[in-house]
Amino acid sequence: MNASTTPKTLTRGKRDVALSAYALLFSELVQYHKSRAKDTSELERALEDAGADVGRRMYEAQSFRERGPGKRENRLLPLLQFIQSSFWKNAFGRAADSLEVYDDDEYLLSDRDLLVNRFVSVPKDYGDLNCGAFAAGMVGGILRSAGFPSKVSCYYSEQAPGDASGRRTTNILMKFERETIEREKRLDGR
Amino acid sequence: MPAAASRTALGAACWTATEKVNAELFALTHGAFVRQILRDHEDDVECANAALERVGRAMGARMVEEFLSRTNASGGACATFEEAMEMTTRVGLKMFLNVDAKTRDWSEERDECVIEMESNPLAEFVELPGKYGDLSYCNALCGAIRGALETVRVRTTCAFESDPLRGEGERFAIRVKLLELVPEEYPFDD
Repeated sequence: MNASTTPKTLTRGKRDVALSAYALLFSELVQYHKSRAKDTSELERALEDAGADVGRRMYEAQSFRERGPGKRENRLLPLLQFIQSSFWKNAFGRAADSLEVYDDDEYLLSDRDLLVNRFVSVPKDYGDLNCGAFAAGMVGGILRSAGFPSKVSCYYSEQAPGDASGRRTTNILMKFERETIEREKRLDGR
Repeated sequence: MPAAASRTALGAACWTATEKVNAELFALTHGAFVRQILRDHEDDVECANAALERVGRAMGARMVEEFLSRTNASGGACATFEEAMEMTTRVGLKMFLNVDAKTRDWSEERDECVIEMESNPLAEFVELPGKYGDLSYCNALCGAIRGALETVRVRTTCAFESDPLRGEGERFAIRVKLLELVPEEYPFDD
């Protein structure tokens, strides 16, 4: 292994490329999977898988930079808050709008203007396709690599009446396994 | 101002004005895409190279629209292959990828040159395993250049002359050969 590659890449300052270059790449990714998937849910699953790789790696790089090698969040809520704020801002340019909890084991992350959905318009025959599945996959990838396996899914909110912006809030729902939640409770009690 | 410097300045101005996204998100999304393509082609590297080229061509064809709309004010159409290459190298690469690049090794007939890049955001975090020795990991970039030029009726071939991921040289360099300047024909297709 070329030992010099990784540290150099990781310690360098933040770099950018044009949003439109990313939009075109993402669009090709969606088209590629669309031509191979037999239905919308298969397409979303493919985007989710692609996102999982990306999320896990970006999270590793960011934790390494901000916390040093080998140090990571090991509690659920701080990790989710990190994803909502620092991670989202680093990856998508803005923090996600909200993080809510339902029934102990379900968390909901919402973004009113998710980057990957900003340049997507879904044709009618693709019904409820949400390319935010890619971002949901990123979240799933981070959670899995951090030891909080969960089922992640993605859906749009209904458009608020009178909202003509055409933007729709993307919601990412995370449902955790019971063991994870019980472990958290045990750690809370300590 | 000499032509090269004014193009560099134009490239820098376009880059400053453009909306940006984290280059790591771009690099890792591209990486996930490459890995998917390799999986789908059962590690057949030649097929994967061709698939990546197609992805890039589609992107390039659409990039050229944005490129023209943002640079048109400053000089009209390129009259020669050399001008087209200088615009691609000093303005296009800068505007979309924030890459500084220059042309070198021009042929006597001025129909062939090499684009040398100072950096390559597609190659961040990448090390190729031995079995992918013949993979042109960044082939989408060659595709994008070819696709963009093709859209403005400059038919070329593009291939990496040196690819550090394959252990060739220190910098990424792409050899571009002119095949044909396709004359503008009337009536137009549409």
